[in-house]
Amino acid sequence: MRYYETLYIVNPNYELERLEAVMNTVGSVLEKADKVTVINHRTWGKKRLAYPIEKHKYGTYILLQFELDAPEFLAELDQFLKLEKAIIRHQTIRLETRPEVYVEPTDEPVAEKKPEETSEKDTSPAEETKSEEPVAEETNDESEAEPSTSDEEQE
Amino acid sequence: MAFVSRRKFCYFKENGITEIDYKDVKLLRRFITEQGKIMPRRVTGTSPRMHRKLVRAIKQARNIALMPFTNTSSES
Repeated sequence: MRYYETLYIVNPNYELERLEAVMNTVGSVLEKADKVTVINHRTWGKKRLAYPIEKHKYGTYILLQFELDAPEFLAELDQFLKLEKAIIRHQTIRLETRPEVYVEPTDEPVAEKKPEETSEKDTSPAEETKSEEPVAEETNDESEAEPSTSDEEQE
Repeated sequence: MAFVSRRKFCYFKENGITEIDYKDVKLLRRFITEQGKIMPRRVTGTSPRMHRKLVRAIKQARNIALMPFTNTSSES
């Protein structure tokens, strides 16, 4: 059993129902294959792309994590994602450990540090995802440490 | 800024990080230059093992447009 993670970017013009439709088609491909267990399949949010892809400046990121026995399926999935017009970029990564099942604290995609609290889970399934722009943060930690003489610490 | 005496240390070792997630752009951003280049180990002081993992994560992030390959204009 191996765990994989696919992050794919959907055309930013696809929203709500159309986005859901894309996710469903991807989900159906996974369902068709044997020995695939989907762990997570969720929107990560609309983000600004670091560089334009097919002239899009933004993209909706969707994170898919699954468990798979037959690695041959990866080629199939790759092929499908490549041909799907709504998906402008995708990448599959092998995970070393089992990913945790993502539980939505609110109806937001994964937030960094936002202690927001809702008393009860809302029933609205499709809310517009929040677009987050990457914040440029240049912090070089340059603090003085203990004066040991070794130049590099190796393991 | 010639000889500022400062000890290099592995950021990941200090913070007890063993795996680097390519989705953690905030973290990866510290290890690239303004132009988007990966900073060399001699600058960051990262341990060889973690540097390899870091490089991999940055390249993965670039591929999926979370990070720039280059950054020529004063953007971002």
